[in-house]
Amino acid sequence: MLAGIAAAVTPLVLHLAHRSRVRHQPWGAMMFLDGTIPGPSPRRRAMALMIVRMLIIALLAIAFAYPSAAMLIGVMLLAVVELWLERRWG
Amino acid sequence: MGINPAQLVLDWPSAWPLSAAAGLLGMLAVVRIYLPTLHDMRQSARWLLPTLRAIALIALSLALLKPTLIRAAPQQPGAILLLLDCSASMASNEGESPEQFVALADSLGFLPPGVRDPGLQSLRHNVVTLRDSLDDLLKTRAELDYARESGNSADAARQKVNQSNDQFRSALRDVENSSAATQPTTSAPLAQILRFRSNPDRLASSGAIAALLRWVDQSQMEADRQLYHSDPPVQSACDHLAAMNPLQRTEQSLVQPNSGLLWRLPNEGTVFGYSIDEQAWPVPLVVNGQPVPAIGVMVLGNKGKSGKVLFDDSDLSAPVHSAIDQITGWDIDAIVIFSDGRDLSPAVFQNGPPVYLVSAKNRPSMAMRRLTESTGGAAMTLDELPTLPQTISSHRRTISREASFALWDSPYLFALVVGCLATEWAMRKRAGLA
Repeated sequence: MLAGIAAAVTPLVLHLAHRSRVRHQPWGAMMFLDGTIPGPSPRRRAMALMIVRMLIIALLAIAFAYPSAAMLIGVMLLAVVELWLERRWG
Repeated sequence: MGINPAQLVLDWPSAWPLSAAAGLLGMLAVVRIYLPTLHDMRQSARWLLPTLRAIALIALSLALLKPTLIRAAPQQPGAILLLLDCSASMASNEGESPEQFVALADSLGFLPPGVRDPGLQSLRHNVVTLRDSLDDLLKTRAELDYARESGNSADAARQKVNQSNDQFRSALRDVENSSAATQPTTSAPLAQILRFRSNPDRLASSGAIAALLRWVDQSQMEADRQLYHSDPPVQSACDHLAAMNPLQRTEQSLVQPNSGLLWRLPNEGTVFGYSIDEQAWPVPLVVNGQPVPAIGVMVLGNKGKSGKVLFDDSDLSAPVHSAIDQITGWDIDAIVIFSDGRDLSPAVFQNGPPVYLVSAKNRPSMAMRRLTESTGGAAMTLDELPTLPQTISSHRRTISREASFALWDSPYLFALVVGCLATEWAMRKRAGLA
């Protein structure tokens, strides 16, 4: 089941696939908006969310390879944290 | 091919509060945190995304209960393990007289058919059945008493008592009938058994069945002695067997064409053979589907093959377990130990398949009979060996093998959870969400 860790690349693949579909259009007035959004930049948020999702799948693979209730609960809590991040940054 | 019924069991049922709490927390998070972020999405996606997340969280919370699927595995006969005690005592006779080998000669087919009166043998068989059915009846009665005292449902226990009682009555009738066909027709123990027929507890404490068994054995011995002295072919066969040592007689009982054990064992399944001293040494018993003409094991003085000095009272549990370890991967249906009738360590009989102890010398003791029966096996002498294949076959029909499949750490559950999450994330990306 440890091979399931390989599935942790899924969020990375989704992230890269989505990025290739996005077309960047330079816009002069963007410089005035950049500093107005509080917290991390959208790029950093997307990266953080992707890392949390990769972590969920990797931990899930480990929880299945070495079954323990604590690991499963840890994965569930991480999935709830990821929900909260999606709401906050979505 | 029929579908075997499957049963779902929970390996950690006491974790249900934890599982329920985790599931509720997950649902709460989905409803309170997730749903409000989806108000701008299409109606179908607004329900599909939280549903996918809910499925993943519920699957994980149910996994905490460790659900396992158990189903009956296809019936495949397991292996039979034959172990030959090659310690020094198997090389020496203990002054047995040739007339003691009439029964063995008969079982090996050395005697003309019908020359030995079957009446006493039939009576002995029925008395042994009566003894076993009485033991069973007393055991089921004790179970019924326990069920009543502990407040459990006694219906199943009462049904077992009724069945055991029927078997006991039937065995009693068989003893009575076979006794009537035997000369002399009456004996004091039989009269005692009939007197206590309606009181199994008194019958068990009276020792009448053991006394009748002794009486039958003495009558049989006397009949065999007369046969030996009156019939030259019988005398010749018995003298031939008396000239062998116990190990050679054991070998003969195994390989004798048509009547030997190897020829009579059921064809299905595999037979593994080991000679045991202080270790277990594999010996081929069946080659190209045919029993070997000779096994070729021998006792090497008072030393084993490794040179270690053997004692007659050496504990055989180590070599027996060594032999079992050497055939890992096989289900063992029966272990047959050919020894000299000495008492073996109880460790031989622990947590394993039925053990059949076959004595090449003395009749096995009551302790060995109890120990072998506790495993589902039996203790017997070489001349009783012909009944063994039937006993093993009967036991095999009662074996139910089970295959268990853990659902809670299976790749399928992993794929389900990862599939739900990945689909949800992909749909979010398509909708322009984080």
